[in-house]
Amino acid sequence: MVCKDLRSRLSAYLDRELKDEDSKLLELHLASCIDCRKYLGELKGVDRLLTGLPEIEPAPGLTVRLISDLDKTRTGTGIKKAWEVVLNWVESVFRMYPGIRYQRSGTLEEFGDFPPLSISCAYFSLLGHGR
Amino acid sequence: MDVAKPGAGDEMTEDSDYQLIQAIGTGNTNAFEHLVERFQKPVLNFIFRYLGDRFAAEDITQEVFLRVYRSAGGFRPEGKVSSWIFRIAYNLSINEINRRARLPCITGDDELARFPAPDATSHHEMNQAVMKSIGGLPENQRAALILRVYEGLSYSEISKVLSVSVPSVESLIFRARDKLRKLLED
Repeated sequence: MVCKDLRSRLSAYLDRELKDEDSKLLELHLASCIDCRKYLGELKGVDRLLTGLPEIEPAPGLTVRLISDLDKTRTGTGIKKAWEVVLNWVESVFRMYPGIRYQRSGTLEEFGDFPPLSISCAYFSLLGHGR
Repeated sequence: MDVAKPGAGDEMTEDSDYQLIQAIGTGNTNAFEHLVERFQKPVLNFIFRYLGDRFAAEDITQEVFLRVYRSAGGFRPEGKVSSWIFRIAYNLSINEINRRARLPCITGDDELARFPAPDATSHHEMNQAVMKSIGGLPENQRAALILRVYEGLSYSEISKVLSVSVPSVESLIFRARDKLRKLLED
């Protein structure tokens, strides 16, 4: 077994995710290869540093805030809940048929450069007639 | 009800996780409180280590549990409850990263520089370096490594959380460790 191939599996070996026969092959190699043993030691060192990091504690009152948020949700009107059901249904239809796309009318885009050119032209032509 | 750390592969815990989800699906807030008590710390720490921002982690953790509550009725026991919850946390964290990518002024390294490390004393600088190195990993490698090292999820569970194959998980975690090894050597 080539060291390079073996090293790519040492991480899974550390995590005890290899099959027994693969682990035994690795251990055979490790017994005779000082460089791979050194590499394994370095990976273990990385894990030691990682697990040395402190954990953070949840802010007190998270559960209370969550229950409060749920209460707000539950006290929402029946119409709001029904609307959520409809929206979820529409979303699921769109997921089932990814070919469906919204059609763009372009109507709103015409007003992107307000005032629209057509209205401006009419205005200036009226000004012209007035003179 | 006992509060056990998820990801340990305990069948009793997993059974009670399912029972909690079923009860939450019927609107049982006591069951919801138990579930929050059980998972809030691992979920918060996963998001914190993934994003490197405590405040965002707290907000997203709250959103994770609200989504769990809303979706509990439709939960299908195809995998572990913990994998499902971490998947929601992962997806919301990805959304946050994408949102920040659209707002370049509040991204990345600045956040890592002000990591709070309340319990660290003499190891403060080393912890800062390790946190910064974790933050420098590609997103999927970072997520896989955190789920493995800190939350103790198996490769199979991680594959469900990240929606990738088990060999991909092995590769992600190997590359993450190898990169950290080089980064921390310097």
